[in-house]
Amino acid sequence: MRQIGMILRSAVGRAPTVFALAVGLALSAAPALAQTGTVEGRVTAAATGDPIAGAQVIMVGTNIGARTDADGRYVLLNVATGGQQVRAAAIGYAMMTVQFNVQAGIVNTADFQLNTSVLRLDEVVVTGTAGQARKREVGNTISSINLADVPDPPANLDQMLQARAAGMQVMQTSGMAGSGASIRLRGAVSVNQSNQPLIYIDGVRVRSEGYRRNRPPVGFRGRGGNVEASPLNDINPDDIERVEVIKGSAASTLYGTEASAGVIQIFTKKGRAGAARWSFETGQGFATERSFGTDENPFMNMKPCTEGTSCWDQWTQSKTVGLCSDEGLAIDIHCSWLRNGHRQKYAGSVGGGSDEFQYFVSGGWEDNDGVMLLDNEKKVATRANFSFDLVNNLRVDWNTSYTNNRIANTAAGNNAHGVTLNVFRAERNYFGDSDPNNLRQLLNQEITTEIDRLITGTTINYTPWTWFTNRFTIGYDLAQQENRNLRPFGFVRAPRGILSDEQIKYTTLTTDYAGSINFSLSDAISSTFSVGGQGAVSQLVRTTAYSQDFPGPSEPTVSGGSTFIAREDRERVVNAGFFFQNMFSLNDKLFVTGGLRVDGNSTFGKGLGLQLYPKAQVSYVISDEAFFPEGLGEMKLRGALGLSGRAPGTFDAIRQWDPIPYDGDPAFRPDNVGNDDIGPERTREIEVGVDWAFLNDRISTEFTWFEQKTTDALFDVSQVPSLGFLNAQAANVGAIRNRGIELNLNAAVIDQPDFGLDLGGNVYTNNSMVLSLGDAVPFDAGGDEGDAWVEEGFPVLAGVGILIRNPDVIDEPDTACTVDCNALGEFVFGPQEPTFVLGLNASLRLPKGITISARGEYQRGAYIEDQASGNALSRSVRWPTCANAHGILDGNPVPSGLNEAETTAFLNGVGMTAWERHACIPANHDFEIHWYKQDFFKLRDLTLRIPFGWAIPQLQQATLTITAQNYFRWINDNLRVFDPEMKSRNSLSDQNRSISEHIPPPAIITASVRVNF
Amino acid sequence: MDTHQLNHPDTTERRDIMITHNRCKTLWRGAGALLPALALTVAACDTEILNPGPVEDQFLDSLLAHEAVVRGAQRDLSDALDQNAYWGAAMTYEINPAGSTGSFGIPTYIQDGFFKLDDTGHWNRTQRARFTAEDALRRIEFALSEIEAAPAFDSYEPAADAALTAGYANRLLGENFCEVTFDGAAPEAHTAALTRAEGFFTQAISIGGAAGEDDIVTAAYAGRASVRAYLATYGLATWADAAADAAMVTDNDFVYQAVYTTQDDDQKNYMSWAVGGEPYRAHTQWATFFDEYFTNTGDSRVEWAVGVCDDCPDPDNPVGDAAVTKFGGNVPFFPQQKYDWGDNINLSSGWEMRLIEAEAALNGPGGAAVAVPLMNQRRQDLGLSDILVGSDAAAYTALKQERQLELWLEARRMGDVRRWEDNNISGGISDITDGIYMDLDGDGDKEIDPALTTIGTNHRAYPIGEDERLTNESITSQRTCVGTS
Repeated sequence: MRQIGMILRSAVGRAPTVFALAVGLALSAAPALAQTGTVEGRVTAAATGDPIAGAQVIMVGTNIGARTDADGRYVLLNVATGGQQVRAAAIGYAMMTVQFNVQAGIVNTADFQLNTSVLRLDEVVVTGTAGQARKREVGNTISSINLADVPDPPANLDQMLQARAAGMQVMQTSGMAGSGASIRLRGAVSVNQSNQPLIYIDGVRVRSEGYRRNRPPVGFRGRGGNVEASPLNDINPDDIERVEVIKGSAASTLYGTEASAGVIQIFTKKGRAGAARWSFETGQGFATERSFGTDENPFMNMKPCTEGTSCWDQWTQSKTVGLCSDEGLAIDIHCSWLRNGHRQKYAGSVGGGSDEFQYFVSGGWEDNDGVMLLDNEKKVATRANFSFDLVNNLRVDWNTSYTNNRIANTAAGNNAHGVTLNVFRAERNYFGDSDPNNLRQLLNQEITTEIDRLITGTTINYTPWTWFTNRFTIGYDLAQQENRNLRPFGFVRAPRGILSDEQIKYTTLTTDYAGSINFSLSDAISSTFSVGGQGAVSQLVRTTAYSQDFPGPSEPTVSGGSTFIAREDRERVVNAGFFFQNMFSLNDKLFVTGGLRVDGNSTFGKGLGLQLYPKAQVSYVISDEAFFPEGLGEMKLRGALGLSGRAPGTFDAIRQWDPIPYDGDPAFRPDNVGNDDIGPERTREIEVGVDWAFLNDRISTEFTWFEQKTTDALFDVSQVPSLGFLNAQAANVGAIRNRGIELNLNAAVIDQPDFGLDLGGNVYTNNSMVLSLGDAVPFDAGGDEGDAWVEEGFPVLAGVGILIRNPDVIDEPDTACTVDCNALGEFVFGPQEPTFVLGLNASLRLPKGITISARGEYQRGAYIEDQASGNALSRSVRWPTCANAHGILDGNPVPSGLNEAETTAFLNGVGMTAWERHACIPANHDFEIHWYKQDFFKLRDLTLRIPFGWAIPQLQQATLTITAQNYFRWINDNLRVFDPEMKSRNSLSDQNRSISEHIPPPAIITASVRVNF
Repeated sequence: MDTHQLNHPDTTERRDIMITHNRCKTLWRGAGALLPALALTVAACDTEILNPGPVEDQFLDSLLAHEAVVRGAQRDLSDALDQNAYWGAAMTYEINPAGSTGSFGIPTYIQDGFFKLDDTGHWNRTQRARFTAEDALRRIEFALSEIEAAPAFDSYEPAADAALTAGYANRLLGENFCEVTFDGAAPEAHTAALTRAEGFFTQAISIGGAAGEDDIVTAAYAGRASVRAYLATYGLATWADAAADAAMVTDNDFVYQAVYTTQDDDQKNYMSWAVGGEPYRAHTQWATFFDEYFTNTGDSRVEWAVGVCDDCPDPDNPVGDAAVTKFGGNVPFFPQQKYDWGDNINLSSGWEMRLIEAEAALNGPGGAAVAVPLMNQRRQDLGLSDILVGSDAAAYTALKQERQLELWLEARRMGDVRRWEDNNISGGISDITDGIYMDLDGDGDKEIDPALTTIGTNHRAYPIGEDERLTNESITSQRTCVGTS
């Protein structure tokens, strides 16, 4: 690297000192013409001699580069003659640079034997950095997930990310088709705004919030499937090369106002110079529901008794003969509301090109039945990525993807027209009847969501001089969603029919520039100064048409109804900012970085100016020092401090009134009080850590301690109702904190050529706390979807309710709150995000390349509210957790006319516990008692991978993969009926976790074959 | 908080709707010499957005917006009345629960006859109705003073309408809540809202009269008669004044109503919607006083019918849509027939005026001799048998029931029960008929369950809402209105 430094210093000597002039010169510079030669060679693994495919080989200081083919070979054309450096880098290997003299007119050979590098310190990352940076230069932790390391073919991107990195929780939300997962990076940094991280694909910012739930605009808002699809799942996992995850403000400062929840950047595959490389994959499998409910009532009636079969009856609390018969059913439900849903997938891709032009084109089709009877998801995904090396110092990448996703759902969730609610509640449902022959009328609904997604972006990398690099990206994300929700003429709950059709367009336009200038201050010290800016314009246009009361049975349009409602919403948000950053490097071992991001945002109040977000980082590759004992391996120390923000809501700043109708005429109603000074939440994060590989890279570990403190936190400050404005007003009044550790540990326990065992794990802890409420009174940020309590001294977004202190004692419930009580005297159970997460993985490598791998995740410390149980028990529904109590009371009904003491004596006499008295006697029931520990373990995947390319001539590679995802699980005894990975209606955006009348996420079993040639 | 300033921001700052600005002056200075950075700064500062939809506050000052401002207050009053009428009906046994305890349903604690201190929706809606009406009046007066050649406030129809709405909103607040507050101030006795209502009705009579709006004037007299009657029970007004106002409403068929429509779910009559259309067969007349009373008398004021439920297990014997706590299991479904989804709810009526005159007579020299014929006037109009009582006490008992029948499901019963009990009017509430009626003795007739009547442990007024309690620093404690005011 010293040689590089000398080259750069020489360049800087000619460079202008004023950066603006440099930019001007850069824009006018033209590549020089010179004599050229060709460089070619082969990149292999030093340990095994195996070729390394996909390694990047570049001429240092130029844009001349290529990726190696399957045999590890590369060719570089038009290389200037003279002393040159050629560098090879591959994921998982230490970078290697060779200097030699390129001669004109001949083929110059440069072979590389790369040593493995578990820490991958020379791997290039771009997320959170100003332009490209090597990992050794970065002071924050950054998780890279390389798809080549993922043995199982993920069903979608959500599942692929599960348990992949410490500090990243990817929680499924229901078992319905199309339901997305909520993602939290180091917990919740906001109680008012979304905690979904920003998503970038190949440098283009794309939508990260969930798609709008399919529901009609009027009436009860649960009339639908009650799931939110995730935009992340529009991305075909097969197209992904790697994913970079930065988890907090220390890393995301350069993204500015909207990045405090972290950033996930996805890099899609690119073509490589050489012959076309084809890949095809087909997968077949099924989704199957794992048992939920209790032992006496597994599946909560979703698999009722078939005729003549003896099974448990919820109502009579006894064995009974099943009622269900397939005979005469218009819809073949096979006496079960659940099925094994067939899944099939077909995908193909081709990549290749020349040194000047590379391409990668892919297409795929999936058809996945859900476990619910009407659930299905059909997806078509295509991608075309093109790279052009127009001249030596100018490279253009153009990436485009289009996805069409059609989701059909069964009516479910907290929905009186839904299957699950009515089946769960049996005889005390909205039919007063558990007969499947009657309830099947609820299947006569069409709930379909279609999403067309186009993402296109162009990135131009321009390097006029070796010391001056520029990257410009412009991108556009268009998602067009249609929610169609039909209860047709003749539907049991709306005999004349109801139809809602919603068209939603989401767009995001991104522009992004980053320029860096490198120069040396001395032999030992070099500097990289960067400047850049980003603009993002997000827009939402939603029009909803609704009608009801159709004249007769037919396939209707909204026009066919007799009563109409139309709605329109338009929101546009602009965020724009710029940054400066300088990194000093001392001997390529110690790196010190300082930076500043400056942002404006259309949601800020009138009285607010631009916002500043500073950052500072230190990275020290101490193992490169001479004094570092060689036997201790490779070690990097790092620390980072940075700020980033979260913007307020679109309309939060404005004092405004809602236009509403009254008796057919226009009217106004108070809406927002408004806040001229509203601005972003500011999250300051500090993290320190160490990356260390030792025992000849057999063991590697990354440890990070972090603390995030969000000041100016946007809290919904309740307004005084007698002042007329009922909506809480967001204001920058609060402060919250997250603090914890992340630890990754991987060990190559056995590493033989034909046999190996890798074990790994990661640990994440988080202790969150509300530090200050400012002017706000303690409040519930969960809205009407459940509790998410915010009060000083308690965990952020806490679960609060009633704790029965003597649940198993045969006595009156003791519900007095004596410790951990909030301002309302309710018990604070704890956070709704886990405080401890343990990820485990193991991979067993067998002869002939066969591998068996497993990945599991254990979570502890979170609480979840089981609203489904609360809803049922408050309605006198016979519920399995009250089976004992029902049995007692059936035989010993509480006599009327007893006073309190007599009632207590009676219930003591019949042996009812305190919990049963509070939960199972409807008149005593309180929703607030249904908080449960969320602790669970799930085996995220168990995969068998068998290469069989050797068996088929002409194939470069062929693999059979059999995977079971989420098949095995353990759930703590406290949570008796449902699954911890469930959520309420607005599953991605809700701040709280609560269980509604849904089914848990199913297990997925797939077998897939992939061939490359 | 300065309420005037809150509602009337500087009108010289009028700009396009929903434009937001960022002032970048200080950072412009610092951006200095770096041209690329300056270019990016321009981009960063240029974040003005026009987002259509909500309306900025100052645009409501326009003359052209005044009618919509008043209609907004009327809509808020309709919404508040709708919700208060529903839960209030459950508390006073005008209806019994039959179904869902969540959406459209009657919460379990209301089914068990008490309010919770963390209830806040009813208070909030009622306060919003009061605020928006009073704010409309203030806004109109301010706006007219700022506009050249504007109409005179004292004869401006929207002002009369706003005052009338403010009067009824205050009446709703005073009759249904334990204590009241105004604009973030300290709690006062609930009668303060009724006194406040009296003032707004008087203002509506004055402005409406000057504007020639006879309907507004009549409705204001009717409203003032009702609040004066209420206040007279507490000795805060005279029965003579109440009767005099009532007498100004000569047409027995006169009604002034809160409006509901089927065009929008939010504007539907909730009492009706909760028992039809959707699966929510949420309440029933079964086991109420009106169960057997209607069967026996056919009094059309309290009509109910056997519900329609084709998908019930036994369509001939329909039951509520879900199990409820009070009756353990599925409940016979006898929905009220007073309202359909788009039917209005009376705020005042000519027939109520006759009952006010009758009650005034019982509190004055006229006594039963004057009161009973006034009550019978209505009964004869309905084809019902006359009330035949001789004593003033018996006549008062009859009057309590007539008000129960006449004002059924109109959010008036809790207020009546409270004022009679608070002031021990003719035996307090010992003679009322509100309660659950079951065949307790097995003789085939239904008797009132002594443990389940309004006389029992019911709360008789909504508490101050939790939001108000947590945000209004003037509130240090509140009464819960258990069995008392």
